[in-house]
Formats: sequence, structure tokens, C-alpha cells
Amino acid sequence: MNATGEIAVRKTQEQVKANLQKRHLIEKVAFGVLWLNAGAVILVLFFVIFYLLIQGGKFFVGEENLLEEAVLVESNEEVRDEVATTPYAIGYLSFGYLDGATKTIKLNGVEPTISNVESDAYPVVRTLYLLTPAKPEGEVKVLLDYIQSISGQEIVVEQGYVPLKTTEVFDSAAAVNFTGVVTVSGSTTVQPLMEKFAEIFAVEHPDLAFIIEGSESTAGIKAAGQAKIDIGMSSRDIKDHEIRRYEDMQVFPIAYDGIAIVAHPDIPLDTLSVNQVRDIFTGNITNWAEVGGPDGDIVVISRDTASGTWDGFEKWILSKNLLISKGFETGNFRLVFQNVWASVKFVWRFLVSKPLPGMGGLGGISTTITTTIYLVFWTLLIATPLGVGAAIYLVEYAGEMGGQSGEEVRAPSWWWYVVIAGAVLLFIILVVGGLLGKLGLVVGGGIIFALFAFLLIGVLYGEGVPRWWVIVILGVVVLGVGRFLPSVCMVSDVAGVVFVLAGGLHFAGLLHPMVNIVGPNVVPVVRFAVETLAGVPSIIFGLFGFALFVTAMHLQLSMISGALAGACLILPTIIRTTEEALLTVPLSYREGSLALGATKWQTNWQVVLPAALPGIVTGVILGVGRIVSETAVFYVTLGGSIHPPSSLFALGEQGRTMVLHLYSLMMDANAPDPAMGTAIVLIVTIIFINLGINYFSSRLSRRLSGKA
Amino acid sequence: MTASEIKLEVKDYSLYYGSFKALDTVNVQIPAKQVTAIIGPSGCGKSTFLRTFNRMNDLIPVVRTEGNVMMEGNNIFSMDVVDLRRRIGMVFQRPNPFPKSIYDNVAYGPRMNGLCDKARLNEIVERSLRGAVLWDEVKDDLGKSGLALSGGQQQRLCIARALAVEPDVILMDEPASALDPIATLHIEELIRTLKKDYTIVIVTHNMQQAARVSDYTAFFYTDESRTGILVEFDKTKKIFTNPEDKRTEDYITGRFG
Repeated sequence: MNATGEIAVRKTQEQVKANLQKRHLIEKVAFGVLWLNAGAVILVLFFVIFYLLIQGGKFFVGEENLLEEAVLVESNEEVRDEVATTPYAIGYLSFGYLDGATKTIKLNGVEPTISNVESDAYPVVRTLYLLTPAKPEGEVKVLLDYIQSISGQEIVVEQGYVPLKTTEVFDSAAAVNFTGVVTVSGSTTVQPLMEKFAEIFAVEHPDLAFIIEGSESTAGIKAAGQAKIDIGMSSRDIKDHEIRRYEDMQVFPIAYDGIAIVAHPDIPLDTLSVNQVRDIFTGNITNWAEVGGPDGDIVVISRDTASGTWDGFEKWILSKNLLISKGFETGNFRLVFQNVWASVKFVWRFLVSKPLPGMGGLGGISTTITTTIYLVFWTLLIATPLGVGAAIYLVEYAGEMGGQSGEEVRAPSWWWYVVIAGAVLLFIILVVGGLLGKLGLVVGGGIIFALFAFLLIGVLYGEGVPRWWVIVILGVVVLGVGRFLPSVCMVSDVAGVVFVLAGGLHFAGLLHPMVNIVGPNVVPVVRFAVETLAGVPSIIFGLFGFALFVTAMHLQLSMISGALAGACLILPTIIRTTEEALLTVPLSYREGSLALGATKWQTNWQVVLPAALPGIVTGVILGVGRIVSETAVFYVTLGGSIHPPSSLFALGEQGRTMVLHLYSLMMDANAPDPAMGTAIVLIVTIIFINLGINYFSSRLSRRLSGKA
Repeated sequence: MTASEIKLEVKDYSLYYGSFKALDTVNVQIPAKQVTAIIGPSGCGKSTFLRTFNRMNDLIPVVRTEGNVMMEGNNIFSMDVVDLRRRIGMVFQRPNPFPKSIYDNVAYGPRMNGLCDKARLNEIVERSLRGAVLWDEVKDDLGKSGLALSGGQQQRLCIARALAVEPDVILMDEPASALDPIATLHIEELIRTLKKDYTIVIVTHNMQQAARVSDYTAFFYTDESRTGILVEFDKTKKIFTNPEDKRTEDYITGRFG
């Protein structure tokens, strides 16, 4: 080898070496990037699950469910009047409403008085607030200054509330004579206090008018935040999400208020423990005799959860996490255990009790669980046979595994499909008619079914496609049946028109090119359509379901509408996964079976389907997941009632799945906490579904592959 | 051969894949209760020819045929294909037991033909497994999956499965090519026993095997257009010792590699 050659070789070697280093470097970088990527994704996913678990857990530990039978009223005044007039009633009231009409009960022997609150002996206390849409000016600022001053706080004490600790002196000289109208709205706890201040203020400013409306703290905060009023009243702390939502809103504490437990004046009891009160309000104690009182069923009067008084009461009396942490602090593990156990019982009650109507998202989710399971069941019952059947046709007959089985089967004309589909449809109508108890449906459906059956037998055993005039006459007969039996006219019209058209086409000689219409050439088109449908947003299926099932077929909002729309939604998924599963079954199984003298159908049913079962199960499970997690479709086809539909064909009976309930809790009831609880139940449900499926499917494939 | 000794008769048979002619004018008479081996280089249409007898080629949409194939005087193309396949069993190149138990594998054929009687099925399963010399190895474990058996056992299970439908003819498409020498030996012994009751047609790549097990041999070869033709058909002894055609001799002696 000459020198130039050697140099060339050395150069090449150096290049290879440098190149190798570069490749190693790229390898390292690629690995690093992928590692970071995977790590970040996994962290995010775990964070999502843990965040939801913690939030939901907080709900289960933190909240207590009011017993279902509680009478919900809308203001402190109503609570006072209800408790005063209903025998054996118990309720809770703001200090400002303690006027002797009700019996005030001591809590753990401590009397609910201002001095006991100030000395921290009486625990059930919350702060009262006024809110302004923005930084207050003019008469509102002067009013707030006055309320927060020493002289203002004296009025607070007069009204029976607990004053702020303040040293501010109100300088009335700064005030001019205001005119106009000040609108105030919100908590009924703050309302009497506000009315008093307005009265005093009006003395110095006679031209200033106050319009004060009592509703609930939540409503007051909302109205002030949206600047619909001048001053909002709240008897509970402003929640984080409210502060974030209403950025300009200003918050002014004006007093403290205790919440007292009150009972009907005839109740001879003086004191109850916190635990007893909790048991009464959660329904664990239902008779006064259980707490040493007279024998009589306790009537629980409560505000709903939008109320600030409920908020304060719930936080101090019913809240378990407070008591759990108190138990840990004081070493009272009995208290800890009691409340953890109460949490467990709460989870159970949340699962088995019905949601309560109205705002606040009170109650459990039992009916939504029932509805969800019910819906999944019916949807699968409709979608699985249809989807699997379609996939078998596409793969085994028209597609990859098709070809002629060699059997003497005439290529089926589209006649077959019309006749078979018609027969199946009418059979379903017969069953539905029977279930609904509609005689007309049964008779009419029966007549048409008989005609179809006649035709089917003719096609199966006769000389192929019947003569065109036979078909036309049958179509006319079917149409005629519809005229005499209005309850089947929709179906018979469709069937009749199909018949007449088919007969006409047959006559015109157009039928022959249409023979075997879904043959191998059409399979790619069908596949493309299925894939497209799988990618269509679910609300479109909702619209479709609403237009077809709810409106056109008069099924209204009902379980059957929801199940049919849901079936449309998951059909593409089931078809695709079943097709994939069928394609993984080796051709040799099919050959082996056919070579033994089995027919195509026997081969499919006995060998191919069992071998494809794990894959099909996976598809069905994916379908279950979609149904469980779907909102849009069922919002417009199933509706939103908290009661479950009584049956599949209970037309007009709406229902609510867990996800719809969650949506409603977030958007209508503004109750994110129970929504979190529901979310946890959903996640756990899906986890269990997945675990179950994995177990089932791996057991199946183990058995099929001969490992077990 | 007299007519009663002829099981299958192929007359002027040609086969096309679309426009490609894969077999050209084959004429052959397969004797009854004898083993007929089909040998020839790869791609000469041996397997295609074998699959003609139970019309497995019908599964391929593009296949077109000319000529006749008669079984005991009946044209197989006008017979009911399901019945034809029951009467002409097949064992494939790779063992293909179903993902079912050994029992269900063997009972599959009879069941598909409408037999439900449990006692009768038990009898058939035992007889077929004995016929395939597998009974003693699996009799205590008939519930085990067929896929859990070794390769050689699986192939014998497939033979038992074919025997269970009581066919007249058994087609074997390189039945030992996926097996080790010992399993191959078992299968060859089995083929020799089976010919007492069955007409056997076997495709093989292995010329020693053909010489060992078969009574008659058909040699297929391809011309330049890759179309398969039957070069020579005669008693195995004759083919391997004194072939008439030069190409047969070249192939037998390994001159084609």
C-alpha cells in the first residue's frame, strides 16, 4: 500500500472515530431528554391523581352531611319561627335572633353569651363582614368608618352581637349631608345590624335612603363582587375562589357573632355536648329521649349550605378535621378515632344517600351511581353486538380474512340486509311494545314482522330475490298497516318506502349492480368513516342523539335515548378494537377449522372470536370508560334529574350520571367540595374498572395461550 | 391401477393466481390407502396443488382453476365444500392447534358436524389420540391447553384432530418441517401406520423422508415462467432408483442443489 493510501485509510479511521463520539453524544442527549420528558409526564400525572385524592379526601374528612330529613329554611327569622312553633324542633341561630321565643341550649354547659365568646369559653363564633364592589367612597366610606368605630361597636353590643376590639373614634364632623340610595343585600344574620345602622345614619342624613334585602351570604358576596349593589353582607369568611373571582371587592369585618343552639321552648334540656349536637344534626340521634329529654322525634331545622350561619355552624359543630386535629393536640385519641370513624361513615353515607334538590349540593350520590351503572349496562348491551358484528363482517367476510370460504353462498344482495335489518328492527319494536304494554305496537309490529319473515324465508329457501311486484305489493301492504295502526306508522312508513323503492329499482334492472354492496371495495371507505366518527367531538353525537332519538323518535329525555346515543358514541371504538383483535388471530386457526369441515360461521364463532376475546374485551372496556366519563352526550339525551329513571323505556324520566352530577355541582350549585368528593368516587371507579379488566383480560389470554 | 384403487384423479388441471399460471395441465391418479409424496423445489406449486384437493385455494379470491379433480368419480368442485373438507382432512406445515384444551381440539370436528353425545365424543377423542400415538402422553391431562404441548406433540394433536372427523384422505403439507429429528421420526412412523386406513398425500422438502414413507412419488418442477408442472409420477422405488426424466434424476441426485 502506498503512502497516499495509508493516509486515506487513517483519515477514514479518524472520521469513523470522530463520528462514533458524535453518535455517542447524541445518544446521551437523547436519553437525557427522553428521561426528563418521561419523568415530567409521570410526575404531572401522579400530581393530578394525588391532588384530586387529597381534595376529595378533605371533603370526606372535612364536611359533614346534614341528615336528609332536615327542614331547610331560608333565613334566621324562619329558623326562629320554625323552632318556636314546631314541637320537638332543634335549630341554630345567630346571637342577634335570640329573643326568648326559642329555648337557648348550652353547649358543653357553656351559655352562648357575648362575655363567654369574648373570653373564648364559647367556641361557635364567626366574623360578620360588609363588602363593597371597590374601594368605598362617600356615604359608604363614612358609614363603614362609623360602624368600625367605638360608637358603632356599641350598637353591635346593643343588638346582641360581639363587638370588634377597636379604638377608632368616629368623627362625624367629616360627614356632609348625603343624598341618594344605598342598596344592601346578603346575610340575614347581618341584616338586623345593618338595618339598625341605617336607621341611625338616616337621622343625620335624612335624604339618604337604604334598601336592605336579606338573602344569603353567598348571594350577598356575589352581588357585591359583581357590583350589582353598594354593600354586600356576609356572615361567613370569604372563600379563596370568591376573592380570586372578585378582584376589586373590599372586605370589612364589622362584628363577631356567636351561633347558638336553640330548641322548642317546651324542651326541658339545658345543655348538650358538641358530640350530641353533631349526632342530632347528622341523624345519628333521632329522639330527644336519647339525650335525656322527653320521648319525641327530633325535628331538625337548618339553613342550606349557601348560608353563612350554616357555614359557621358546620365548621364548628360538624367539622371532623377540626376535632381530629384537636384530638391530636390534646392527646385525646378517642376523639381522633371517633371522627375518623365518622369520616368513614360519611363516605358510606355519601355513596348510599340520594342527592338533595336545590343549591348547595347537599346529600350523597347514590342515584347517580345507579344511573351510571344502568346506562353503562344498556349502552354496552346495544353497542357490543352491533360493533363486534360489524367488525366481524368487515374483517372476516369483506376484508383481510375474507375471500370465499368456498361455501356455496350466493353473494348476498343488499336485499338480505334490508330484510334482516327490518326483521330485527320489528322484533325490537315487538319487545318494546310488549314492555310498554302498547297493544297497537305489538299487533302492528307483529303483522309487519310476519311479512318480513315470509320474505326472509322466501329469500333463504326460494330462488333468490323475489319478483319486483311481490316486493312492491308487500311495501304497499306495510304502508297500509301504518295507516290503520298509528302507533307503528313511523316504522311501517320507513319499511314500506324501502320496500317500494327496492321493488322499483329491481324492476328498473338497477338491483344487479348493487348486489354485494358492502364488498371488499367498500371496506376501506367504511373503515375511513369509522375512524372519522371515532374522532368526532362527543357533543356532535349528543346533537345527533337529541335530534334523532329524543325528538324525531319521540323517546324524549330518557334512559333509552341516552343509551342509544351512547352506543353511537362508542361504536367506532368497539369496531376498531375488535377489528384489530380479529386481525391478530392467526390465519392458521381459520384454515385449521375450515379444513376440518367447519363452516365459516362455526369457525368465526368457535375459534376466531374466542381467540380475539381479550382484544374485544379491551375495546368494550374503553367503551365503558367513555360512557362513565361522558358529559356532553348525556346532558342532551339523558337530562339531569337527581332521580334515576325507573326503567329503560320510562320516556321523559331523566337521569343523572356521576359526571353530570359533578358538572351540576360545579356549575349550578357552586359546590366544589362535594364535586371533589364525586370526582374521587369516579376516579376510584375507573381505577377498579381498569384493574378488573386487566385481570380478566390477562387471565383470558393466559388461558388461550395455554399457560394456565 | 384399477378404478377402485384410485382415490383421487386430477385431469388437465391448471391453476392461476390472477393472470399468473401457477400449475399447468396436471394429470395424476392418487392411489387409495397408499402414501403419495409430492416433492420438488420451492415455489413449484406443491402446496398449492395439495390445497386443491380440499379446496383451500377457494379462500384466496384471485385463484382461478381449469380442469377437473375427481374423488371416487365425483367432481370435487361440484361437491359441498364443507362435506368435502370433512372427507379430506389436512395437516399443516406448522402445528396449529386451537387455543382450547386437548379434548376440545380433537372433539372440535365431530362437534362442528353436529355430534353432541358425550360418550360418543369421549370414544372418538380416545380413538383419534390413540390413532395419532398421543394418547399415552396426554390421557391424564386432556383438559390442558393444546398450546402447552411440545411442537411434535402439537403436530400429532393436529393429526388426531383430523382423524376425529373420520376422513378418507389426509393431506399433509410438510408436516415435519417445523419439528426436530426425533419428533419427525414419530410423525413418519405414524404416517406408515395410518396408511392402513387412509389415503395420504404428503408434501415434503426432504427427499429421504419421501423415500422412507411414501409408496408413490410425484415430482413437480418449474419451467422458466415459474409455472409448476408435474414432471414424473411413479412408484417411489422407481423414482428414486431409475427415474425416467432427466430433471427428476438431477433433482434426486442433488444436482440442482
